[in-house]
Amino acid sequence: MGQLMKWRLFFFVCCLLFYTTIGTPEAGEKFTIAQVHYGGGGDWYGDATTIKNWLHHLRVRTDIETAEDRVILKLTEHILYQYPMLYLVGHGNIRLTESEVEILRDYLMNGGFLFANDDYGLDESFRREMRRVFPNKELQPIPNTHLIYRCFYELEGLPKIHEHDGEPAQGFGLFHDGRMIVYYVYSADIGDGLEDADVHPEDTPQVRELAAKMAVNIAVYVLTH
Amino acid sequence: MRFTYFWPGWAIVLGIGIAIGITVFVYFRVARPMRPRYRVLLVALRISAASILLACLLAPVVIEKKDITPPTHLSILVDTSRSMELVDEPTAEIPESRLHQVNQRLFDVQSKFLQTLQDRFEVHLYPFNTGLDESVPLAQGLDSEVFQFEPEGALTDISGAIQEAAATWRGQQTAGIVLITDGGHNSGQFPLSTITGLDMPVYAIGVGAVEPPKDVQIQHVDYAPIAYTGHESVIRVRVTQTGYTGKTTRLSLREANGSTLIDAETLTFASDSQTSTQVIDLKLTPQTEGNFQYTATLPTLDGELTGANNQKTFSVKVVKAKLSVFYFEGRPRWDYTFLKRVLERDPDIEATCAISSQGRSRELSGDALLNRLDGYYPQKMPASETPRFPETLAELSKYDVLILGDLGDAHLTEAQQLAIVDFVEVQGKPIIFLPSRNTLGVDGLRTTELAHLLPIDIPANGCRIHDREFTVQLTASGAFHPMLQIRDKQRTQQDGSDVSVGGNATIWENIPVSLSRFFSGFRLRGGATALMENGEGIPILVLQRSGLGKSLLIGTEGLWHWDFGVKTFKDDRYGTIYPRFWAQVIRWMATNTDDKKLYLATDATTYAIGDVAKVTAYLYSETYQQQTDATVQIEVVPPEGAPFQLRIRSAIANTNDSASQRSGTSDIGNLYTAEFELRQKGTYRIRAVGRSGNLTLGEDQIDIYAHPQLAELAAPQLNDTLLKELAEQTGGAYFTIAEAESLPENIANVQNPVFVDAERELWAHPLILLAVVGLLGTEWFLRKRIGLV
Repeated sequence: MGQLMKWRLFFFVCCLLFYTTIGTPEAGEKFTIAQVHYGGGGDWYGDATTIKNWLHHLRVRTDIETAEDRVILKLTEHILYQYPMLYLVGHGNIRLTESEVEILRDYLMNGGFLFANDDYGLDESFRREMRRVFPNKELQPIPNTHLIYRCFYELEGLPKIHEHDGEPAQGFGLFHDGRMIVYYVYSADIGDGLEDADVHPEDTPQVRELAAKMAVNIAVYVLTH
Repeated sequence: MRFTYFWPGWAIVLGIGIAIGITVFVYFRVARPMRPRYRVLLVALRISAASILLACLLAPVVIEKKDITPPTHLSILVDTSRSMELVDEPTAEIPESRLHQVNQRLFDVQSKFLQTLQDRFEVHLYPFNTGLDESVPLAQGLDSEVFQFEPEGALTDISGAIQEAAATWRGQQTAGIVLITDGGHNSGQFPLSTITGLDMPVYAIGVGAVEPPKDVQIQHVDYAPIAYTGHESVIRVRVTQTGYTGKTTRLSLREANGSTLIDAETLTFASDSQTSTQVIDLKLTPQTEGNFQYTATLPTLDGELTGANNQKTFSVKVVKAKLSVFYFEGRPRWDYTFLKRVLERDPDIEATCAISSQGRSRELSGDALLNRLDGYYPQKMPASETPRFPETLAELSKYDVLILGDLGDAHLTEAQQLAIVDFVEVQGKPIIFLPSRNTLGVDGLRTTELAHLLPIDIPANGCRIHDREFTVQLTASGAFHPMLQIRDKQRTQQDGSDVSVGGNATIWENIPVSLSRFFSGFRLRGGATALMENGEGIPILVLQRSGLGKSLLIGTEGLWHWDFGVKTFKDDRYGTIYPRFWAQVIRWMATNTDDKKLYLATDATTYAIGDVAKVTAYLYSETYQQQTDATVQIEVVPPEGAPFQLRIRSAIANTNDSASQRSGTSDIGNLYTAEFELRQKGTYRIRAVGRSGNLTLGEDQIDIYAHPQLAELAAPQLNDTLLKELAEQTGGAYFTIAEAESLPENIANVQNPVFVDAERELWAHPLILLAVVGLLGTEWFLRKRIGLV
């Protein structure tokens, strides 16, 4: 057997071993966050590096076993229930179809969690759609003493990352059976704070660190409640 | 005509020639003068007579067409199931049951129905219910006794009866099958395609009213098989009504063998629909431990079809107090999230959940709250109330069940580890391991004091992780294990009627979600029993006895998939399979923490009369090893009559058989199975004793309940849709019982005449004799006249 053939065989065996021991990454139990691809014209695809960095922070700072990057999906996709945590972001309009409204309601009431980040300009349409999803529930302000600001890092409240209209950063929650099912941050922009440094170069390391800590807290809170 | 005795042609010619020759010779030698014409006439007469006799010697026969057409059979099948005793019009002047109508209108002596059919066909009359009975004798004439059909069957198997009747007369000329029934098929599937394949027309006569009769019934009772003393359990009763719109009645819950009222609810049936279903919750708060039967009852209302389906009895095992569970997790993960929710929502469990980061190698930053909490993740505010793992055995002893998540070797101090060992081995408490990469890895529990509580040996380089999808399969032990019985024997289908469902193992294999992580490379400890595997033979659920306690390992991550998004497999009480699985695991692990070595289980707690109860006995040694020299006796005490012993199936050690292979019939070393048919209504007590020689190893007893078979009352109205479709598909026709008189003329005459060639011998025919005598007599008369005689 020639030297080249031996190397090829070795490479093949290595590949085989890798496949059988590691498996397909999608099939595993590593924590990841699914970014919602919604309709209505808003930039659902924004914050392209946010979840990747979010997962990186979780991997480095906590014991959570995470995947490398986000999953993008529509609410109507059958794999939705493989991801108990959703991330929704954007600047513009969001419009859910009737079936998406029902799917999201079922998803959240059956154990799912939605973190929505207003990138600026999402507020009106997001609140409107949430009223469609839960006509009898109201987004409630989350006080700074809530565990979501304490469950890993002790924060004084929701960090303010970007100025937007100069309003204070505000966190709101929707609850079902005592469990927070939606956490919505307005005028804070945690998502932008998690982006790669060159996306928003005006953000100082201190601000970005605050965003990272809040992001860790959100994930830890969801995973422990 | 032909001759059957063969002579060669020359011999026949020779014979005729000799006869002619002799005759001519004799008559022409007569000396007496006679007219020539007389001479010729005499010769002709003699030759004719001789020729006839000669022809008779050749055995002449004539060929005739003979009609041998066989009779055409017609089978009449009469439904004698219990639903045929229903009275569709109870307020009529003379209320008639369905079967009474059949007897009177179709089989009475005065009825032309049967007589007309008998005139045309060879009629066979069969009663049927769960199967086809022997044919009954037909009345012969007006004076003979007429057979009267009586309702007796607990189920109706129309398709089976048709197939059996068709098989009885297969190959013979058959006009078809007359089916007299209310169409209430309730014995398995109705394979219409199989019946149409018989190529036999079915003429259906529908008996009964198409409109659902007025009735109230308890369709289903949903309850937890284990209740706790002093703790309220919810008994969920599903009630349906037809024809009692807006009516108010009272649902009560009582002990089955007593009159003590436990709870009652008044309910008013919906006023917006003719038929409606309501779910009523009753409360049960048992005060003493033991096995109890309870009955939910509705009173029989005026004009109701039957009161037999107005009550249901069920069995509950009452154990003391609420279970206290401590769940300690080693890292945040979805398994923790979902299990914590399940534990906290279970009203029978008092859960304490803690999650710690002590095992992580990385340093936490200074402002991490976990630093002040010694690595524990806060569960609620204030954070100072964050639960922590008990430091001493005394603190740990407050709990009934301990669940350890994905812990590494640094999560617990040595003192805590030793406390856990005593908790299990000395105090006899159960421990459940829910491990993943930490516990089963190189730095896992392999080198800790907890290692020997694990039912597996972790290799020095840790277990291998496999992230790929799989569905679980029960092993031989798992298929009958009480922890894994996820369905009762009787469940309710969409139309509300109770149906039997497939085996437990099949239900597990068909769970519509896959798991995606399992581990390999470990070895089962001696005495450990695998209850579930991943389809490749890798154990997923492993049980072993550890000292006086028990330890269970769940060798997969991601069980939460059984909860989140599962829409096609729903459990009435727990919502999804996931909380039910955990409820049963925790209760079984906690309930049997005594030193019991023999456990009895049945495949259900409530049966219908006629059902077969499958009994399983597990006999364990101190360390869950199989008892090789042991015998188990199982005795059944019926509601009435003498106790009887069950025949135990042989125990064969084979722990690797999959459940599907064994189909619940063979056994493993510590598993004994038997079954018996329940024939009486009431409580059956089942007792088991395990012995080794004269030494009693263990005893156990359980109660099960048999109620009347109510399948016949689930949909009591005439199912004319089924009968019409059956008739149409098979080329037959459908008639109501009022139209049945016209049925005989509608049955096509399929008779094909059959003729065969038949030979009739002629030699003995009287005409032959007459001809010979005539010829010879004439000859004699002429001779007399001529004077030759």
